[in-house]
Amino acid sequence: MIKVEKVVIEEFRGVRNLTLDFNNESFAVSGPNGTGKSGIVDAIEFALTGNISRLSGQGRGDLSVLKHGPHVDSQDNPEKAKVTLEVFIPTLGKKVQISRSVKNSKKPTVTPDDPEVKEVFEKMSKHPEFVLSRREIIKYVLAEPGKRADEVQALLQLEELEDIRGTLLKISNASAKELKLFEGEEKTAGEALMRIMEIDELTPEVVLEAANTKRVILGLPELTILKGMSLKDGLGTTPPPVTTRIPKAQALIEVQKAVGLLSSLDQESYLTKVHGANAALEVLKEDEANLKALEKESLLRVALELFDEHNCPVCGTEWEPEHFREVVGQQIARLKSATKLKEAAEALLSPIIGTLEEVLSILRSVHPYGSLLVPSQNVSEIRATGITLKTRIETLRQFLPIQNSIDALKSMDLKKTLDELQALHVVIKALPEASERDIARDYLVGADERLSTYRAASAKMTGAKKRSATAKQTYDVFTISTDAALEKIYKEVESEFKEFYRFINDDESEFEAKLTPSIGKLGFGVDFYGRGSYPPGAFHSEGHQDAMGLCLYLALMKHILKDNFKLAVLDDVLMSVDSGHRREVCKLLKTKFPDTQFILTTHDPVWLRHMKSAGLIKAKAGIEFQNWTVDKGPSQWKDIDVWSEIEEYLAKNDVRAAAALLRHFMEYTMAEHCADLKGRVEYRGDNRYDLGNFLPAAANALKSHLKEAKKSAESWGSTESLAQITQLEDSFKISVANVLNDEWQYINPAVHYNEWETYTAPDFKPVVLAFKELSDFFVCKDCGGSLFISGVGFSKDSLRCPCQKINHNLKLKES
Amino acid sequence: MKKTPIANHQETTVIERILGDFISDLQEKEELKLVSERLKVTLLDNIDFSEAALKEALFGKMS
Repeated sequence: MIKVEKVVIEEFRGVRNLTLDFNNESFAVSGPNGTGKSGIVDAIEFALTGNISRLSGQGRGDLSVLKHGPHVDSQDNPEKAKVTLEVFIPTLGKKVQISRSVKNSKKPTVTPDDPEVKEVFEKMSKHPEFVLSRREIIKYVLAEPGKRADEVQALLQLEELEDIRGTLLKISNASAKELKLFEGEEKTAGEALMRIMEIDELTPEVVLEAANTKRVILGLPELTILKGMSLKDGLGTTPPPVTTRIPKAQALIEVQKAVGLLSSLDQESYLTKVHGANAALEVLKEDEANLKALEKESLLRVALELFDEHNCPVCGTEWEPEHFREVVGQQIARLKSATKLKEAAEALLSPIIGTLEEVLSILRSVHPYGSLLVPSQNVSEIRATGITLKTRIETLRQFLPIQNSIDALKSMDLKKTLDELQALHVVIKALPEASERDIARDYLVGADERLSTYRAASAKMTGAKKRSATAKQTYDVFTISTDAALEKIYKEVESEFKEFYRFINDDESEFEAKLTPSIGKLGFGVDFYGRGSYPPGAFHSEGHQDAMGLCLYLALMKHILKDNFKLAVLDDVLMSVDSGHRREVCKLLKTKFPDTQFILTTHDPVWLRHMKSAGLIKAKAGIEFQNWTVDKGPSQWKDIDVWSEIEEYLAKNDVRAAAALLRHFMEYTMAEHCADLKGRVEYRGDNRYDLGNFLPAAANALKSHLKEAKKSAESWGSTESLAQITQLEDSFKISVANVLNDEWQYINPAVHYNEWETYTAPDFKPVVLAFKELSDFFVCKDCGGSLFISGVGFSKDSLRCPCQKINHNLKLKES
Repeated sequence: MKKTPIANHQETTVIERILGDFISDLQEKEELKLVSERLKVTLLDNIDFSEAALKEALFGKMS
């Protein structure tokens, strides 16, 4: 990851030309809504990823980076819309510049153009989660479990894990299907072997016994093992004479069986079955609705089968696995009546298919005899009938379209085939009677050939079985392993989330939370003041939800990137958090992520002060946008320049603007000083606090602390400190008196009653000077940070600034 | 039994860590040792998650 040193924005979004120096440190941008803060967030995201989340994703309609990325006046010149970042890559120890124009958003200019540097930017462009807006926070906290799982997995960069899971399942399902097919082939080959060997059981012992009977006749040694052996082993390699190549006895049996089986297709018992099945199919055919339902049901079942745990196999839409199965299952249930009819029809078709398969198998066995005879015998009708039967079996198995199944049940004209079989029988029968030895040899040759076919089918089946087992086992291990890993990750994230949330909510030290992963879902329950665990949106305020979102995001990022979590851009993410908790949020970011650069935006200037006084950002690491115009873009209000700005107003004799700015500025700085110095502000029932409340409270607090610091210095015998604090106290008292006794009259009524109109610039200048002098007492000249009281709880240890150049002890020496 | 980590957890992404653990779990199954070695190359070295690559890792080269 990177840290941002500097950003230069040109003609981009609402910005015309703006340069900000971040110096690789946390930085904040404040300003009312519509002053261009988010333009900076967009610019950083665009420079690093080529995209602007605000203009893409769900509900963004026809917005696009190319059309709406440039400033509205530069829409026709997208090459002018450009963002340049100077960044530091800590892992490489390199300073790098990346520049990207809207016109060539996918081709940034990177200097130096090293492969390792490119890799860093490529990683960032694929995962732009370093930018977090309130919209994203809601995704983690308030989303439904399924959606949350997607969002969190995307943040954890685990989408690919789900892809792998889906692919492994697909491979496992395909392997199981392949196994079924090869099992069928092995069964058919086994039946053919048993037929030619005239055995009823397919075991090595039975096969060996049958083969050895023939081998004895031929004077061949008996085989003791079947594995890897040829049944005709020792028979010699010379092919037998043509006339004896057909095992006459077996061939006659098979041809006779073929005749019998084929004839059975015209017999009453078979035709009755066909009639019953046909009637059931006709019922379905007549009922158009049922027919359509069946087609749909078939589609739904295929969809369930092909579902890869991620996308619908029909339209590609992403689904949570459970939800997909539930919806498809409900649809199938609705088709129950049609399904029942279909199942009844399929039950009637099953014995018919069995008979047809039996006929096909025997025709396949006798068909080769035609070409083995000399002269060869015409078996074209047998072949044609075999093809027709194969097609009909497949059609009946598919069931739909229903008309095809009805057609497949129609009677076949088998006369020519039966004639061919009869002729074949005659020719085979006319073959010279073979000797017992010839019969034995033909037996062994034929049996060995079918044994080879069976072995090949068996080997295929064994391979398929192994593949299917491997695929299933691998998928199972993957599921168990990744589920366990995810559970572990969620446990760790959950633990850190709780720690972070407790850190910013000291009234919830017993706070508990639970992330509950299940297939495709991530439940999120949080404790509500010991009253039970509920979804975050149930009882917690928006402010608490925002804080939860931030804490969950930080826990996830910490888990993903560990020490490499260097940059986070937080776009107005804590708008609902009350001021009491903001300070804790600042402390959380500062103490738990000391090496992370946070770039924050807020519409609340007081937030900016919180960030500074809490030391999250340095005194000068923040800007405030005052307003925005389409022509000029945002205009900055750097608080260090407030005094110059007031002077500029006075130079133009605009006392009204100068007084308003002075009051506004003093109001929020004094409010912050009250918080920093634990000043006591008088409670107002209407909650409308202003400078009249804050200034005296802040001044009294500082006075009181200086007094305590003096006492402490006395107790420690530190005369130098005592003299220094006494001098400071005296000057401060004078400054306060100046403001509260004289100048106060100018600023207070001037704002509230518009009496400023009676004052001229020369009248007002001393007022400004007096307030500036007073303000300077509250900040450190070296670091620019506000003075604050350090100590835990009600304890006051010291009055100090962030750099500790000012550090007055408040503790008395124990006597 | 304690797993032998495949990947160095400090320098890898979350998915690499999870896939590393998966490969370790596979390795523990005697009959899947060879598959685990091929999957390690496919998933962690080549970072190829395609169906063709996974098939080859599961079943070995078909040709």
